[in-house]
Amino acid sequence: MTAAANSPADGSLAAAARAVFGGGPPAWEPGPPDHDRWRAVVASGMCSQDALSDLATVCVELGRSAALLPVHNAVVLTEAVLAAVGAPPRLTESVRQGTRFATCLVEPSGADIDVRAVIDRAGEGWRVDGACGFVPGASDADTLLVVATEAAGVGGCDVVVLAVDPGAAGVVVTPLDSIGGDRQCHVAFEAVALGTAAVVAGPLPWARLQPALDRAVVAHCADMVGAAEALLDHTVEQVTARHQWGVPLGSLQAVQHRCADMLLDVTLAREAVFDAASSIDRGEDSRYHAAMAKAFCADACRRVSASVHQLCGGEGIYADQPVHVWYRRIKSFEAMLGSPRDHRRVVAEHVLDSPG
Amino acid sequence: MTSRSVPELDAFRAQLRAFFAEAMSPASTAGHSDPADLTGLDEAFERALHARCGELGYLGLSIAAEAGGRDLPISYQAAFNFVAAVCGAPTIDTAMTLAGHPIVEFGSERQREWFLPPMLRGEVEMCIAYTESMAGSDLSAIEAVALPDGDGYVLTGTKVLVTGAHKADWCCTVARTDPDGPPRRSMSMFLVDMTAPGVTVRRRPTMNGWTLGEIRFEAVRLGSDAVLGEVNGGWRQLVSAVQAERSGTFYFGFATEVLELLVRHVRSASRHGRPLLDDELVRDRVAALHVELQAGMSLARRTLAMQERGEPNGVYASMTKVYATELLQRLAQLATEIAGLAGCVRGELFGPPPRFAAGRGRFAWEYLERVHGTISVGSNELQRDGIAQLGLGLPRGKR
Repeated sequence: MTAAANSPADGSLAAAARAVFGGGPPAWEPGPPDHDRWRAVVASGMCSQDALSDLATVCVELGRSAALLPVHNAVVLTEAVLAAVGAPPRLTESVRQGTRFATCLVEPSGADIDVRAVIDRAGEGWRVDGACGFVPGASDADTLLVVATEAAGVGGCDVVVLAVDPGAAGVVVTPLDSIGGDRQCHVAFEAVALGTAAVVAGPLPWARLQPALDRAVVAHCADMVGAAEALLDHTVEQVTARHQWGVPLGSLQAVQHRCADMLLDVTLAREAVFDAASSIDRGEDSRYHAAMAKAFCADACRRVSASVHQLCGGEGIYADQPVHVWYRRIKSFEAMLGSPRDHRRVVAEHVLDSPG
Repeated sequence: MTSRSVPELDAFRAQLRAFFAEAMSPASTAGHSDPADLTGLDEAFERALHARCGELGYLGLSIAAEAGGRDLPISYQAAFNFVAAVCGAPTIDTAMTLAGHPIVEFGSERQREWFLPPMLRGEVEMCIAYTESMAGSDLSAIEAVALPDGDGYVLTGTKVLVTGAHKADWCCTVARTDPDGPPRRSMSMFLVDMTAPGVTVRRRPTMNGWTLGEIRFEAVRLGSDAVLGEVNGGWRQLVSAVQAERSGTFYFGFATEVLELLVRHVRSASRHGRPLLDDELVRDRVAALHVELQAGMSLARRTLAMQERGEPNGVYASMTKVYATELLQRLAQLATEIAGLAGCVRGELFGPPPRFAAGRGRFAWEYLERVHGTISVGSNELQRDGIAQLGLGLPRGKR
């Protein structure tokens, strides 16, 4: 009996996704992703679902596997941005063929971490200056998909989407020791000169990208839920097997209560994700629903990750054990594409500021 | 640890701050970063610092004069631990803090004469090795045996989760000397030379990069003088030894430093174009943490006062430990939450400042670090049992 056994989403798509991402406990291998494994994952098309509910189902399995592959940025966000801006199909095709993209994006209201790329028309081409922070997989990417503003970075201005060669003169990619093992990088653009062919789309209003962000956020939440469910399964295994004072730890009331709280959290989080996904699939306000999912899931899944460590004891803190791989992963989603608080602000607008 | 202190203690604290400011300055620690060690510093640095502390009489502050200590009230030792923790000095775990109490309490005259002077001079490193893979929360379930053999014993077993095993000269451990006897009256404490034949240490990295040790004892021959205290009296001694670690003060030193780093971050950073300093929610949560930290430090002071008056303080020590370790977890979450993406970029304690990281990468380090505090030195679940039963007299039922 596992935490996920009662889930309504458990079906053939979940099983197929599980097969693609691989079974077995997650390992902490934050080095460059294996290229063959990457191609296999992308070629399966598993991460390129049309319906967000299906993408969520797949991302739950991704989170469960805790695979250190840049799926969320290189596939989900990249494809969503390309679709949202009406980019030429050949770009999405190249994603599916294994070309590794890293999407460099800024928060809608700018200045989250003081990063943006500014375009300046120089002669017949473009000049990119500025920086993007915390871009997963940028140092392993073949192409940077850069969302840049034309004006000096204020919310609501027009953006241009550019394809940039990471090896181009003036592009500086600095790897960071990001806690989730997702190989985040700081990407700086110092007077990078680009021809018009680099333009993928735009200028277009920032708001066109919102659905792409929302989709990516829901995918993150599904991943967190999968990781949390796997953590709960691991915990139940551990406290069942481990005995002290002649009894399984799992028979102790304190342990049972904490596990019950964990099941509550993962169950509610799963509902929140699939609620959001299906609402968005039905065409409802994606920003609100994504915010609802993120606001709930990040805190719930983080609580689960903390409880797991407490119940798995000293052995669980080792690098060669799986717990920290999920623990780190869940934490890394918390601040990405808006913190829970940022998303609660969106919800507050909906609850408090809508007419009637 | 400030407003309600005795003047002499204040002067001592100032002396400590000056000492550690120099001893732990960037110039002093440069070149000594060792992420594989819990302290973040290499063994050479630690040994040198322990020796300096020993020379200054810092290692036996509250140890009785007849044992070679300075016989000062326990708040002096607590002040030392607090300032050390704030500065990140590798003097929380010294031979004296780890094994001093059992040796002073239970050691024979010969053992005290032999071990204590070098321990007080900071010339020897020790580790304590009690836990086994099947004996964590329930230490009475240990399986390591020290079978009587002629005059001495032959020790066999494996100890896990040992801090500092790789650099220890001596090990204080427990093993069954009467395998057929009742679990709590059949184990003895031993002092084992880590260079003895049959002792091997395997270092295993934790998720935050530093290693814990697994010590294998394979037919290690021990003399009768290796027994610390009473043969088959190890359990009683163990309980008292573990209690001695529960003062809680150094935890608040860590919290003080991390909160200070967070305050500096809040004062300098912006989000969505607005300074964090103007953000009401951030202000509120930082204030709340400050409130909680001060309350905790008050509790630690009260616990120390009880210890100094020789009053039973086990319940207070437990409460302090529970409170402090959970406070550190809340603080790690708050700091990484406020600092956002930059808060999740990790740096080594004494490594080069990581680029694009908040708090020099310390917040992310804390997030990975503070997980084990609620597990080790008596899990907080066990501590709560004790608080309820000893503190409130609630009946001990089924767990």
